[in-house]
Amino acid sequence: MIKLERLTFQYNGAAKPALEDIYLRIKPGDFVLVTGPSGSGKSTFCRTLNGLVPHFHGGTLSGTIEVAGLDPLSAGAGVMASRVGMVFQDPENQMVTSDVEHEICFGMENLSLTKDLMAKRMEETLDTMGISHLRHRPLNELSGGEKQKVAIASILALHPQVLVLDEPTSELDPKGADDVFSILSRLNDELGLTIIVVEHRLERIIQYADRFILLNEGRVIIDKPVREAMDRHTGEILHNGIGLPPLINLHRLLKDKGIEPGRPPFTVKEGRQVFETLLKKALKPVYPVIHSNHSAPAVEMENVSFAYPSGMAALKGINLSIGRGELVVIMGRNASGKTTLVKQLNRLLVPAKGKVKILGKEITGASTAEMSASVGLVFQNPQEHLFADSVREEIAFGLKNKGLDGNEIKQISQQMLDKFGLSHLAHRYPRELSGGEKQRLALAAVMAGEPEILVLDEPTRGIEDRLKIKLMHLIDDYRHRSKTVILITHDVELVARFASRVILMSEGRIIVDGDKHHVMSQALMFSPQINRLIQPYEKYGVPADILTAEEVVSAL
Amino acid sequence: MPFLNFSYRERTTAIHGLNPVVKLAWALSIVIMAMIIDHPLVLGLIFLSTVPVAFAARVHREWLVFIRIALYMGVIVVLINALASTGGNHLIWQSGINLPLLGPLNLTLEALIYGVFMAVRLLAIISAFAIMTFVLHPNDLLMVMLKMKLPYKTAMLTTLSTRFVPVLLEDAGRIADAQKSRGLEMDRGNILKRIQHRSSILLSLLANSLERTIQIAEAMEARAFGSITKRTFFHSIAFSRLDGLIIASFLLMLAASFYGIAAGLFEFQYYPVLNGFLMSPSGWVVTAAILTVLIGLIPAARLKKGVDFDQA
Repeated sequence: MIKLERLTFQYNGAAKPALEDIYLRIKPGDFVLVTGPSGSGKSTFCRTLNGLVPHFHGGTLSGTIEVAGLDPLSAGAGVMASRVGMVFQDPENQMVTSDVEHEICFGMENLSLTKDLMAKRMEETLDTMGISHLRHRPLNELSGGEKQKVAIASILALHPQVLVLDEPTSELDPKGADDVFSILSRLNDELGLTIIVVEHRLERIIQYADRFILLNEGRVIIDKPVREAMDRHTGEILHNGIGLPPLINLHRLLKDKGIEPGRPPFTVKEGRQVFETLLKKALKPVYPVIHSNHSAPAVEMENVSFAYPSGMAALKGINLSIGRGELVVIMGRNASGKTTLVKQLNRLLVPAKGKVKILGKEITGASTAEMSASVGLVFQNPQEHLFADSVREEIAFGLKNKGLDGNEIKQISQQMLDKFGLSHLAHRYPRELSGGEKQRLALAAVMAGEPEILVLDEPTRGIEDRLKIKLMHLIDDYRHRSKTVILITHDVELVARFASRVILMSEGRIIVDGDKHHVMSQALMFSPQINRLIQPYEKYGVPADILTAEEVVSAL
Repeated sequence: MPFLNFSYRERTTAIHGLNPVVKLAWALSIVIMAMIIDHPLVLGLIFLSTVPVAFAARVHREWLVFIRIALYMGVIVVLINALASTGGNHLIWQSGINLPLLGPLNLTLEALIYGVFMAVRLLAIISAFAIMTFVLHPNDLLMVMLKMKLPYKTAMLTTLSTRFVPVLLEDAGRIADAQKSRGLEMDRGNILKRIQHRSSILLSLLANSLERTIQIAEAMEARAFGSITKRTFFHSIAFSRLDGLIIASFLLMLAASFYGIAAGLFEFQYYPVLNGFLMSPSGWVVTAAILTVLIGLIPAARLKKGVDFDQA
């Protein structure tokens, strides 16, 4: 039903093709997982299927495409809309009306369906997606996961034969992402809908997919059944910058040690079936010792409370001390107070009650800009941090603010440019850079000023494994110069691999504060996959605080 | 600036339950009358008639924010008019300064009153528009515009932009936070520096919205926007007999005010001396009729009770 032959596409003005010589056939009813590092052509590939490429974006396309019996090239995006439904990354940017019912109608009205037909499809779509309780709700009151479900519903109402989703969960928290993927699996299973999902966090989705396609630099690198890809192509996947699901990673590590563990497990339950005999024999693992010298506290909060003007109490009596040279991770559901807490540190918000001390001194009266010399805050969207006319000036800004002289500024800027791999972009306009480059620049600009305390709010959202690891190495390097790093993240697996101290927040309070092995074990949403795997074996003497595949292997 | 959120407020009041065409007609009638009627007393009463509507719709807190801004603007209007206008016979204050082009800088009672009258006119218009946007759902606005035979794409664009006002305000807040954290001083330093720094927020905001716009356009295209010229509509506006009556009363009211102006009932003279504060009895009768219709909107809205089977 989907046939691509010798498909090559190049954007206008691009140096090389975004897609090169793609040959693919996808059967009706398949659930296809498409992955690849950023810039690999995943998004372009999706958009060729419904004609947005080249009709909306422009460019030259050669080769043939056939989707649901139509050629998107001659049919155009409007006609293709009723055959191929497309859901995008950011739910905010695909909603065009203001409540759920109108949103679901929008596409149907565009296709000129009769009122009776619309009424019927409305009911069936609301039921299929399980969102009939949201029917009359305004869109701006919905959570990210709910919004994304509405986006899918508004597409389903058009009765497409293929559903294409371009990183549909990258803006959602883990709970929202799980909801969306389980709905997709139901649509595929019960309605036989062909589903193509672009995703680079494989652990969320491999259990639902039939087929695994990895793109890099516009070419198909791997195209195999998922099971086979996860068994025999793991090295290649890692080599292309995509992280493996922890269970698959464990499977791979065991194979490397000469243990033949059987088929690669996709779910935690399968993992137990596959690894059971092995796991029962697990001993105390060797945890890598993390050295840190937190003699003097860098951040202290004493009984800090804060409420927003709306009257919502966002922080309730926070007591916290973070030492110099420490890396602390703050986790918690959306709206649990994580970001509100770090905003107290540089006076973006001022506590209603309690004291905040930075480097031993209570901060009062200073402006946020003045605080930036000692507290560097980087938020999720790097673009919002940038304001200078060139990459070099962006980095120099903080140094000038510190009062360094011209030579020093030049020297340090050049160091930072080299370290962050931005030297070749030094004269470019910051807003023209790619997403990954902007992120590195925002970080470099803040780290250049060497603030004693560095705070990163969701720095890894939407970036692939290879870049995540690079970022964590940069942070580690910074920390080893006795700087303090505070990291807010939803990424459980990242924390399991790299963190030491973890703080879990809920409803404006700190619920647990301690070593990651203590905080992240024996929970559900906040436990990494490997921990969920070993939890039931505690009765056999298996340590219940193992978090990563590497730790399991070291315990055998 | 989250308080400056100029968008629909979800409430379950009788005013919110009114037919969207009625809401729009109400606001338009007030704007038309405010533009044509010159009598300060009548204008003041028309403005006052919007106050109970704001309370009945329970949007008075949001409304007050806008009235406050309108009052500041009003003060500026009064000041400028008082200083710039040379008309009027009753001198209150004499500066003795002769301005080039404008002549002597004097303050007269007439110029002051005229300024106040202009400010009240502004207040009435802003009040009506503020209330209307708070109670008129963007989707309904779209339907009304289509009823008025505006092209669908134009109407869609208008409602789409109202949907993104709160999103943009949120973006602006986040950008300001990010840039302050980088060390950009927003609230200190001289005016020039401040303007320069604030403009960097605007640039980022522009870059953000450009990205949003492209993504939205893409998402609309993927849902067949504009692919078939004859579009259908799932929702429609149903008219009840009551709605018809209310709109008819608005038309009558407009006719009455036109008649009042034509017959010279609302005549008022500002310069050189104030004249016409005392309206003729027939002037009062027409004014009373106008106010009855305007205030009558509240009890009329409450008449619409029980289950509404017509509204889609």
